Amino acid sequence: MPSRDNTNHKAILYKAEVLARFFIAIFGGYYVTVLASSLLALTLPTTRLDALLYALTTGIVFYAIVFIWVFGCRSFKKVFLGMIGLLCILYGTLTHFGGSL
Amino acid sequence: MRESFFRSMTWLHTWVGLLVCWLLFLIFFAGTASFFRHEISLWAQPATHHLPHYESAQQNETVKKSIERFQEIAPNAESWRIEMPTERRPSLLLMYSEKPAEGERRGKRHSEYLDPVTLEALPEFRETKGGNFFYRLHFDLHYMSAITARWIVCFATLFMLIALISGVVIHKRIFKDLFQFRNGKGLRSWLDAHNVSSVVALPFHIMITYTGLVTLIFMLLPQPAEQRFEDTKTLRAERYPFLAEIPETGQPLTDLALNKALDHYFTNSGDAPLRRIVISSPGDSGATIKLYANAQRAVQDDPPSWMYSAASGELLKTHNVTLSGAENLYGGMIALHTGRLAEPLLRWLYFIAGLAGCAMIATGAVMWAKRLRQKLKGGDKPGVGLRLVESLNLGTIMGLPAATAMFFYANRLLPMELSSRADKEVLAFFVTWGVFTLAALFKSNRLAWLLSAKVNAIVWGLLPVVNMLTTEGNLVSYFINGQWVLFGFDAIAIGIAIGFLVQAKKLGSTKAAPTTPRRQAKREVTA
Repeated sequence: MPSRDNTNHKAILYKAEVLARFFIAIFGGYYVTVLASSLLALTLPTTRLDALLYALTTGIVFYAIVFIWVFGCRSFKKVFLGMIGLLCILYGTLTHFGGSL
Repeated sequence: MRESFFRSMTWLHTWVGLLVCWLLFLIFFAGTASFFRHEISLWAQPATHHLPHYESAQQNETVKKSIERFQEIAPNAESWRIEMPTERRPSLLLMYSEKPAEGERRGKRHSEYLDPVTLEALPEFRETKGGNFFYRLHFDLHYMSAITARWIVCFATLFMLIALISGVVIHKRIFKDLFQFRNGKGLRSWLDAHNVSSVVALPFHIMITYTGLVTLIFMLLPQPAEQRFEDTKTLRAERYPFLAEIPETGQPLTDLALNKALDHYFTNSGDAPLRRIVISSPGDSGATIKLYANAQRAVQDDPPSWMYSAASGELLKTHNVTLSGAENLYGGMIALHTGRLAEPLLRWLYFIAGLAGCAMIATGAVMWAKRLRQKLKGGDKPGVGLRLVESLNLGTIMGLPAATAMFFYANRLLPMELSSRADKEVLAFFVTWGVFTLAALFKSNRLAWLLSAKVNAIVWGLLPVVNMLTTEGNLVSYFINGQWVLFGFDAIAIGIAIGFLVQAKKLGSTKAAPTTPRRQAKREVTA
C-alpha cells in the first residue's frame, strides 16, 4: 500500500501535468495553427488572396485536432516531444518555402 | 490522459466547458438576441413604428430626393451616404461627413433618419442603441477596448469548439440520448436536458462557433497574411478595391451623372434592390458613385457593388460581383454566422437554435454545481469554489434575462431629453445584472432561484403593459394592423414570462424541495 506522502506526491504531479497539458494545448495548438495555415497561404496554387482565405477558413481545424490530441494521448512524454517535433517540422517547411514568422 | 481516451475526453469536456461557461452564456445570449437586431431596434424606436412598408419600386425616386437634400444641406461634404430602407429597417438613413479639419484624420459625421417617402425628419426620434447593443455586446463586450474584448471572446470561442468536439466524442449513444428525457429525476434530468439541448441543435452549435472564429480570423491569425502580402495596406487594397482613393481634380462637378449610373446598375444587378449609395467628394469632378446591392438571400456577406465616375457615369470598378471559390467560402461562412440572409422563418430557427445553445451552457453549468454538491459528505460545508460557481450560475443565468428586460424598460421610461440617453439604457442593463450577481453571492440556494424566477416573470410579463402605456400601440393594435415585428416582440416577452412562471412553479413544488430532517419532522407533526 502506498504511503500517504506518496499519494500526495502523485496528486501534485498529476495536477502539474494537467496544467502543462493545458499550456501545451493552448499555445502549442495556436502555433501549430499559425504555422500550418501560413504554410497553406504560402503554397496553395491559386491567387494570393484566395490562398490566404482558404488558409484562414480551414486553419481552425488544426487547432481543434491538436487540442484533442494533447488531451487524448496517454503518454505525457509523447505529447511533449511530439509537439516540439511538430513545431520544428512545420517551421522548417515554412522557412524552406521562403516564409517567415 | 492516463485513463482511456473516452475518460479523458469527458474530463476535457467538463473543464474547457466550465472555465468559460459564464462568458460563453453571455456571448450566446447576446448573439441570439442579435439575430433580431433590426427588430429590436425597430421596437426601441417608436418614431418608426408607423412608417409604411417600403416598396423597392420607389427606390429611384428616394435616391434622387436624397441627393437633392444633400445638395441643399451639405454641398461641400467629404462624402454622402444613403442607407436605403429595407424590410427590416423602414426608415431612410442619410449620413454625411464634413471635410476633415487641419490635423484631423476624419471629419465630423452627421446622420439623420427620415421618412423615406416624404423625406421629413421623424418626430420624437429617441437616442437609443436598440438591437445594436446586443450585437456589440456579443463580441465587443462593454467597458473595455474592443480589441481586448475580441481576444477574450476568441479564447472563449476556441474553448467552446473544443468542448463541442469532446462532447460529441463522449456521446457514444447520440441518438439514444436524444430521445431520452427523465423528468423529475434530479441530476439525471439536468444531464438529459443538457444532452437534448446540445444534440438537437448540434450542427448549429458547431457552425456558429466555427464561423464565429472565422469572423475574427484576421485578428486571431494575422501571420498567414504576412506570408504573401507586404503589409496590411496592400492586403486591404486587394480585398477591398474600392478603398483605393481616386484623387480630386480640383474642378467643380457641374452635373452628377446619377441617372446613367442607376440605369447601368438596374440593368446589370439582376433586380437586386439598392442597399447603400456612397458618393465621395461630391463637389469635385473626380467624385465617384458607389452603389451597393442588397444581397438578400444570397449566402454572401459583403454585398456586390459597382463604382461609377460621378462626372461621366462610366463604370470604373466592380467588387464582389463575381466571387472566386475562396471568397465564396469565406464570405459564406460569415453570412451563415450573421444570418443576415435569413427570411423570417429561418431567422426564427436561428433564434430557437441560439436559445438551445444558451440552455446547453446553462444546464451544463448547473449540473456541475449539482455534482459537486452531491459529492459533499453529510456534514461538510461547501467550499468557496462551489459557492462561487453557484453564485455565478444564478447571477448570470437569471441576471441576464432580467437585465435585458430592464434595458427595454429604460428605453421606454427614460425621459427623451436626457443627455447621453443611450448610455443610460446600457447602464440599466449592467446595474441590474450587477445587482443580481451581488445578491447571488450573498445567497444562491433554491429560494434565491425561485425568487429570481418570479422577478423575471414579473418584469417580462409587465413589459408589454409598459409598452402599451408609453407608446401608441399595444398587442391588439399590432395584431389588427399586421405589425408583426412589434406583435412578435410582445409575444416573446409574454412567452419568456410564462417560461419563468413554469420554472418558479417547479422550483416551488414541495416534491423537488430538499427534505431536511427538521422539515420532515414538522410534516409528520402536522400530519
